[in-house]
Amino acid sequence: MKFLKFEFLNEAEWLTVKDSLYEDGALIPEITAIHEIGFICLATNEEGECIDLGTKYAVDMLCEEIEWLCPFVVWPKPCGIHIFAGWEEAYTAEYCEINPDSPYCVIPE
Amino acid sequence: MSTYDDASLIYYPSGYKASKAYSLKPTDGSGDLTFTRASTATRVNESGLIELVATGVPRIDFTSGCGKLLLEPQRSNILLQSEDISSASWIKNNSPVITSNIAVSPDGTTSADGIKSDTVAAFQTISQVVSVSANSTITTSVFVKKEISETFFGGFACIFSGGTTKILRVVVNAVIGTANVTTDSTLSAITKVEDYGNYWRVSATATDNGSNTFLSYIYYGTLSTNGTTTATGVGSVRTIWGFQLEASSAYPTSYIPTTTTAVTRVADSASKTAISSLIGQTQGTIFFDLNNVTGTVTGTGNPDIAFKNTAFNNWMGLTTNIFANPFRFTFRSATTLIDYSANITRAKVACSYGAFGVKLFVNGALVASSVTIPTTTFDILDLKGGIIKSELNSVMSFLLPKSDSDLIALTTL
Repeated sequence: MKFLKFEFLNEAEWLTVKDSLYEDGALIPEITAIHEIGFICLATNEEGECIDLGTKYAVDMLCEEIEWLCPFVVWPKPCGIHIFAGWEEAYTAEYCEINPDSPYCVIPE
Repeated sequence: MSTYDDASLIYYPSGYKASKAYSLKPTDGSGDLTFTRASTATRVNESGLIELVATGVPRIDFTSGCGKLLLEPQRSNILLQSEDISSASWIKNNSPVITSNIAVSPDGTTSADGIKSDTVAAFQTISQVVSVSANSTITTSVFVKKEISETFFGGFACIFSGGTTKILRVVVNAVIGTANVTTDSTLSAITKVEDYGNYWRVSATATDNGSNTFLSYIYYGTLSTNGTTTATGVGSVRTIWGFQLEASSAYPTSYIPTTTTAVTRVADSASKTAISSLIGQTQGTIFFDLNNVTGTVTGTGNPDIAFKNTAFNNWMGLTTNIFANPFRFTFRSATTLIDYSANITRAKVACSYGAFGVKLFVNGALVASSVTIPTTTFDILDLKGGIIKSELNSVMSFLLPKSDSDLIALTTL
């Protein structure tokens, strides 16, 4: 099982994908948990109010790797704006495996 | 014969390890439950302190003093820095007096913070703004240190915006442990105050009706001078910790700590398959003892806490119903023979079945029956925090129907 982050063009695209992740009202065995983040706030004002809302629809999942979902996987710097409790280290390790040159992963000499 | 001797299966929260919750009977391990939860979570331990429990480990929770198996659905805390109001994640409005780490918190560390209003000129608050779905139901909770005395009252607000602005303000009395919705609120709420030793856990559940998509959560140094209406004032220090905001949730669940991101706790689930020899097939008795049964949505009748068959067309157990009737028990054998709902959160439930039909006893009384003889098979015990939250005291199965008098005695609170 992995902690993967997904980004969809819009909510409608996600809803189409979501339909295929359920069978008889239950998640398919490859999916353990889904958390819908939705549209991510990209900037806030001094009062903390969002002044720039992203247009992509973000979703986090605990799941097995599903090939047809791979095009939607994204790797924000650990751990983005949401985590499943206890999965920080696993996400960070995989992020650095995939992005070894990221400044986040390079250990200063 | 004793209840212990008669029972074929007894689960009582006691021994456990990762992925396993041990049953008292049978003693050969054939009735031990397989436990899953794909995230860490918190519980109240034997010392009354909130502690982190590792992924896949059952939570025996001692909130009410006795150990109970905690079964909760997936929930997220979308407030950041739940234990540090000095953080930049909390916007400071009109310069409230913030003091970090001024008291021992519910987890036993000195991490509770203080907020104080030192002027009557304006409300002095901390706040965060989060995104929510339009017309969503949210539940917010916070631990507030008990006080012997206090000057005026602190409290919190949820202000929904983006559509037609709606406001909920709740005044907290830290001396006697009450939470009152202010008269100027435009939303109603279900408030709850739970005793956590030196702290109250104060929660409020509200549903937006203004098609709003943003929620500003605000905590006030002073929200009220009389406990019911809003007013500024120079107040005493409010000691607070463990802020939580659960979106799409109609009741509070266990505390989910956060730092720099929102955090999701995944649902608990315990089950045992292939135990047809431990469950009466055409006749028998089952028993559940549950605390804090909490549900919100109208269930389909498919139970979360139940004895079932693999084909999932026979079952006897609990699901949820509308909020007014959080307890719901159904017995299904080809057709539904029992469908009973009640406005209770504490339930001792026994169901006997056999040639006489089906009888359901709840809290010392026969509450439903059917003369239809069930034609059933059962081979699974399933205990999930799917759509309902509950705290499980015990589960038993008997291969024979027990007498009405036995079941009244067994289920009397």
